[in-house]
Parts: sequence; C-alpha cells; structure tokens
Amino acid sequence: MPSPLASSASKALTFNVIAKCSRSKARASTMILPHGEVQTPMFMPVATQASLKGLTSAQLAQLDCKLCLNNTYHLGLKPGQEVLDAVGGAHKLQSWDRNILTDSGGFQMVSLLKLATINEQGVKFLSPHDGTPMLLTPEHSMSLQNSIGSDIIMQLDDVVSTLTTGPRVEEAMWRSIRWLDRCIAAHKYPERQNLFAIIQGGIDDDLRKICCEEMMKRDTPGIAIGGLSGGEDKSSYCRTVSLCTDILPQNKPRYCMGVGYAEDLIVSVALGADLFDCVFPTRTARFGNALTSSGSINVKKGQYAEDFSPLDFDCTCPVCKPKSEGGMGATKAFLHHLVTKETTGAHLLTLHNIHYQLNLMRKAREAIVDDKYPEYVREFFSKRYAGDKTRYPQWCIDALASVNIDLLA
Amino acid sequence: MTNKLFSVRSSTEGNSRILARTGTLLLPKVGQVLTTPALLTPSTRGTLPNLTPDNVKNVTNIKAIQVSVECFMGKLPSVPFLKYPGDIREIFCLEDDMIMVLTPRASNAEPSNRANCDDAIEMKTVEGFRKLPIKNFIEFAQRFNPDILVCPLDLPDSGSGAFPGNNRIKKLVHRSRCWLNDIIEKVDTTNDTQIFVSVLPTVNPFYQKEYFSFINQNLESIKGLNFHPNISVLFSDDKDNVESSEFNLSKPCGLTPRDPASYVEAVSKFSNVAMDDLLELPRYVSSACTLPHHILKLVSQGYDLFNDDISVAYANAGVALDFTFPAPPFANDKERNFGISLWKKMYRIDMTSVHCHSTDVLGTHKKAYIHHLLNAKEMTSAVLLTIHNTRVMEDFFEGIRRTVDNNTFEQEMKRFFQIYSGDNDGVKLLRESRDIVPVASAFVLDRPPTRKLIAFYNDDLLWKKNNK
Ligand SMILES: [Zn+2]
Repeated sequence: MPSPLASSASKALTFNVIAKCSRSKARASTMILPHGEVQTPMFMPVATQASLKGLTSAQLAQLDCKLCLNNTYHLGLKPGQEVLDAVGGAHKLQSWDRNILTDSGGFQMVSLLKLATINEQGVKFLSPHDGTPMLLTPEHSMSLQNSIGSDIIMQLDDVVSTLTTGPRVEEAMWRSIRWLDRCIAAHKYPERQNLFAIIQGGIDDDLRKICCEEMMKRDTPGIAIGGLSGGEDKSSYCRTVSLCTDILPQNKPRYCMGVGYAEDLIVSVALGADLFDCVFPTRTARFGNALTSSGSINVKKGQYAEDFSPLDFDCTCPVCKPKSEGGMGATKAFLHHLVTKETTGAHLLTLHNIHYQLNLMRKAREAIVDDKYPEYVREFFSKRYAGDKTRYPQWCIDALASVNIDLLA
Repeated sequence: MTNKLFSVRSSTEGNSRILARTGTLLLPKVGQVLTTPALLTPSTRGTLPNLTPDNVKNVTNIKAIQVSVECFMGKLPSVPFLKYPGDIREIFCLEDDMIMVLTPRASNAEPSNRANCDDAIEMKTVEGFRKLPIKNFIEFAQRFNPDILVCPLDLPDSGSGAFPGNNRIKKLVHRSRCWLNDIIEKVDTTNDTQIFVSVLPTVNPFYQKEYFSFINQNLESIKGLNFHPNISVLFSDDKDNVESSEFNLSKPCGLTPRDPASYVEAVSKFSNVAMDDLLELPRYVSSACTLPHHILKLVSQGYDLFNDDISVAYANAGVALDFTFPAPPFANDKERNFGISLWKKMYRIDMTSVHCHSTDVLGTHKKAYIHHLLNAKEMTSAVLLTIHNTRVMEDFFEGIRRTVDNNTFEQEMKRFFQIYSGDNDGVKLLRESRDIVPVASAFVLDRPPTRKLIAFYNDDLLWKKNNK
C-alpha cells in the first residue's frame, strides 16, 4: 500500500488521505476508529433514538453502513444516562458493533425547544416532560456522550441561526471556543472516544478564519464545520466551507454537519469535506419520497399506481435489485400501494434512500481514487437534470468552478 | 379418491375425544409440501405486517401467506395489480415458492352490517364500506393465481349474534351455492389452484342440504374445507370457555357441529357423500385466533390449517411471546406467563435475550433495547418482536406436529393449559397499561445522586447458575 498523502494518528483515530483529486479539493481517505475502519467521503445516516426508523441493525449493516449517528439529547431523555451506564453504552444497547457518532445535544435543544436560552454556563431549557428547569453544560454533554460511548463525540457549541448577524455571531464563536476547552477538560475517555471541535462564525469570513485558527490550536482528532445548513444562501454556504477547508489541516477529517441533499454532498466533497449527516433521506422516505439519480420522486402519486418498474434502474439497493440478483425487486406500483398505509412501505423507502446516500459517496470515493471526480460530478448533474444544462443551479456551477470543475464542459 | 394432494399421516382418532391429526398437503404450483397442522401468515396489502420482504426471507421460515381480496378493494374495478403481466408473487416481492392462500376477507375482518346482494358481498374494510361483486372476486382469483382459493360465503352479520330466519337461511344457502358454482365454472384449476369450499357456520346441516348436494356433485373440484368458527367465543375473556371440554365454536348460535369430523358426518348424512372422501380433505380455520390455547383446542378437534394473527397482535402490543409446545419442563408446574410485556420498567436494563425457551432469532438484541424502542415509540420494536413472535409460533407448530405423531398431544395440551393459564392470560397482556415516564435526570440542575444501576447479561445468569 502506498504511503498516505497526509495522515494523523491520535489515541482513538488514525486518518490517512489516500487520494486527492488533481483539479478540485476532493479527497479520499480511510479513518480507523475504535469500531472499525471507515472510508470517506461518507454519508452517515441518523438513528436518532438508537434505531433507524423501522430497520434492524442487521439491515443497516447489510447496506454497508460503517458509521451512524445517535442524538445525545434524545438518548439523554430515553433511555437516560443511568440506563446507558448500566448496559454499557449505546453500542451494546442497539447491538451495533460498528461506529457511532453523537452530537452534543445543544443543536437539538435549540431547534426543538423554543424556550431554550443560552448563557456562559450552558443551554437552559424546560423539561419537555414536566417543565422542570434543566441545563445542558459542556460538562453534561461530555458526561452523557461518555456514557453513550460513541466513537466520535461532538463538543457543545453555541449555535446561532445562520441568518443571525451582528455581535451575537461573534459571541457564539468565542463561546464555542471556550466551551471546547471545557469539553476537553471534562472528556473522560480520549483513548476510546474522539472529540471533534466545531467551527462556528456564521457566514462571516473573518470570524470563520479566527475560529479555524483557534480550534486548530486545540488539536482535536477531527474538526466539524458547524452552524451551516440553516437557511443561508447556497453561495454563502459554499464560500464558508471552502474557506474552512483551505485553513484546516490536510491530515484531519472534516465533517460538514447537517448536510444531506445530493447536490450539496457532491459540491461539498469537491470543496474538501469528508463526512456528512442528515435526517433528510429517512424523513423524506416516511412521506413517500424516493431519492433517485434523476431526483426525488413521490411514489404516492397516482402516476406510479401501474408503474411496474423499479424506483431507479441504476439502483443496486436490496429493494430495487431484481430477485434474480438476490434483491427484492420492488416496483413503484408496489411501493405506491404500501406507502403511508403500511409501515413496511416506509421501511423499504428508508432502505432505498440510505443506500442511495451511502452509494453516492462510495462512488464519489471511487472516482476520486481514479482521479475522475470531475467526470463523476458532470455525470451526476447530467442524470439529475436529464442532460439539460440550462436547469443546473447557478450556485453549483459557481462553487464547482471555484475548484476548477467546469460543470458545463 | 378425488383428493390426492392431502394425506393424513397420523391421527389420534379413537383416542378419547382428541381428533388431532398430522398430514401433508402438496402444493404443486410452487413445488411445496406443507406438513400440517400448519400456519399461514396473514398479509395486508400484499405485505406481511412489520416485515419487509428481505426480513421474511432472511429471518423467518414463513412458507405460506394468506392474502385477502379485501385489502385490494380500494380502487375497484380498477385494480392496478390485476394488470401486472407476471406472477403476482413478483409484485409483492415474495419468493417464487411462497404458498399463497386467497380469501375474500381478512382473518380479523370486521363484520359489515350491510346486507349482501345476490351477486356481491358487502364488507367493511379499513377504507370504509365496500362491495365486492363475485365476478370481481373471480377476476382476482384468476389473476392472483393462488395455491388455495377460499370461496366466499353469504354470511349473515355475525356481529348481532342473531340467528337468521328461515327465509334468510334459504337465501344464504342458495347464494353460497351459486357463488361456489360460479367459481368452479370460471376459475381455471388446471394450473393447480385448489378450491376450498366454505362451510356455513351458523346453519343447521338439515337446512344446508342443497349446498351439500352441490358439494357432492362437485367433489372433483373441491380440495379442502374452510371453517369460520365463531370468533366472539375465541375472543372472550372468560377462560372457562377456553378450558371447557365442551368448548363450542359455534356459540352463540350453537348450530355448527362441535368439530369438523362431526360436521363431515352430518354432510355425508344429508347428502349421501362417502364420509371418507370428505374426511380426507384438509380443514382450514380462516378466523383469527388470539391465544395459542385456541389453536391447541382447534387442533384437538381435527383442524389442519390456521392463520397466525397472534405474532403481530402481540408484537404491536409490545409483548414477546414466551412459550413452547410441549411446555418446558419447569421444576414445579406453577402457572407461567406465555409472554412478557416489554413495556415493563423492570426490563429497562435487562440485557438478557428475548427468547427463553424458543429459538433465538434476535441474536444480540436484548430486552432492554426493545423496552427502550417501545418507550421511544420507535417502529423497530414491532419489527423485532414480530420476528421473534413468528419464530415462537413456528416452533409451537413444530411441537404440535411432533406430539400428534408420537401420541402425546393430548397430555401435553393438558399440561400447556395448566402452565399457561390463570392470571397470566394473554388478553390481559394485550391490554396491559403502560405508565412509563421519561427520565431526564442527566440534565437536572443539581442532579441528586442516583442509585447506580447494574445491568445483567446472559453471562451473569450462567455465572450464577454455575456458582450456586
Ligand atoms: Zn433502490
């Protein structure tokens, strides 16, 4: 095996960049975590409450998922920290012997609970159960994530909406840095759990630069780009990601939080991001939407009632793959007939959608290794818009042009 | 002999009142042999509740499913699946050799209070009242091409419990006969579809002479009998009904013979059919049973095919079935639960396997996880419990066949009733209330010291056993 282009090793994470796109900032890497090796670029499905909506861990493993998310806020409520401690963590609880990443719980609180307020101490909120005042501090968050036992844990950060402007953005950025220090001090198991820093600073280039520099001084095993995907315009998103990846070290994983639309993934990989997560593919499945190479289709629509073809002819997921190849050979007509009526309809679409996301990134990785990422990107857009270049979003064209990929070529 | 597909392997006939029998049913269309008593898994909308097709294939032994036309009524007369050019099993993502039994109504169908017509059945489906014209039913039968086709009946509203008057009886006997005639004439059986004729459950055999003689004339085409025991008795909370030796399926009308053999006797008496011809037909109970006890009772009366409504009903209620047949050799024969409600707080840190006496199909998934999933309202709980419960039921039937073959069925049934009855009645389990409050102490300001919980694992149990 050739020596990696860039690498880093900490107690619980080894990161090796094995290939780089010769035009864009896209890179392929392997990351060795306590529960096995994962390959990036990678999408991580979200199993909020230690279960992926109706799927068994065996089904998720069959999709070749190597790393999934659990949400700290939810696991803190149910089953609760005492239970997590007693059973020996989330891996054991959900019978998942592969990797888990958890968020800090802060974002969930701020987005789910309207009454959450933030001060230097932490995030104050009222119990969703009985209204008791509660507090999530960086120390609480570390303690909970230590009990969960996830392979990658996230610092508690001060999350502000990306649409926020003015001094609050800067305050949140500095506070996130202070909170990282508190998290590092409170983290009990650095030898088996990797604490990632989160870059804040809204869409302000200067704040992002400062935050990157400060966070890099803390030398965490990996770094996340946070505070995006919150309604900012796409060009600001791309500019901010690109700015961060220019500063962040080459030899550490970069995790773009809350990103999951196919176009965003393809562009963000070109901008140098490695890891992504989003509830979108599973949530949209429950509304009857299937992700395909030509965009999302809603199988509830009447036009699919007698459509006896698979969701996507290109798809190799267990749902779409014909029976002769060991799959289920499901058709749009069958899913149309099931969806919103039988839970198995949602389960099947969830399987398909997670496969779509995982596969999109797997194929991206193969393309990077073969140094054909620009071709892969062009093929992706061509299929998505049926070859009609006039329909390509301008922000995609611009962002990709900024890393030397000409989408219109 | 008209029916070569079913043969009785061993029966306990002559052995007191127990008429239990084992047999083999050939299903040439899919190249399968079903050993009876056997279980059919009811489907809804062509899918098995909670089980995606990959799970059906990979983690269950399900060989036969029941499909009811009622699930496809939504867009009559335009039913998309009737236009599918290939085998209907393909569209439902079923294995090519999955045995399919087509019935007009679901096993747990709600009775409709609207009267049937001469050429259509009225039904109350999940989508509201629907009319199923017999000609459409036949279209379904032709297109779905099932292994077994259960004929429709002109059943009076079973909800009221009232006994139909003389004119109504005449009408229902006549209609059922006409519908059977239509089906025999129009459904192509050369491709190995086996027609099961439905028995009129609430009508005195004397009044069914017309129907019987028609059956007699068409024995060549009839490959089995379908019974609709009165479900209201089976659903009763009153455990005396279950335990009573006079367990009477036809209550409250009380007119159907107590067991299929005496029914067959009545048919032959009223229609001059040779008893043997009818006795050797397989007998299918198309009503839902909610307790394993009901199934044992029906097996003891000589029924051969059943629907598994139990696995999913209990899975959806958060109950993991925990029984075997024969019952395990407990040290003392004190009463046991035949299932455990995983809602109970006592399971929140219980890292032992869900299976105790049955085959382990959930592998590493433990009670604490399912308890958590139930609490968190995650659908995966129902998926895992359906997988588990289905295996418990499969093992249960395996045990039934084994004991009938070695002549211990009757004594094992008695033991089963002793061990799994009393307070731990399954109906109660289904209704068990849940009062679980989420604990969020991790976030509480000035968190009070909590007692440290220590989970227990199977290894701990083993350790305890070995160190006693
Ligand atoms: Zn697919």
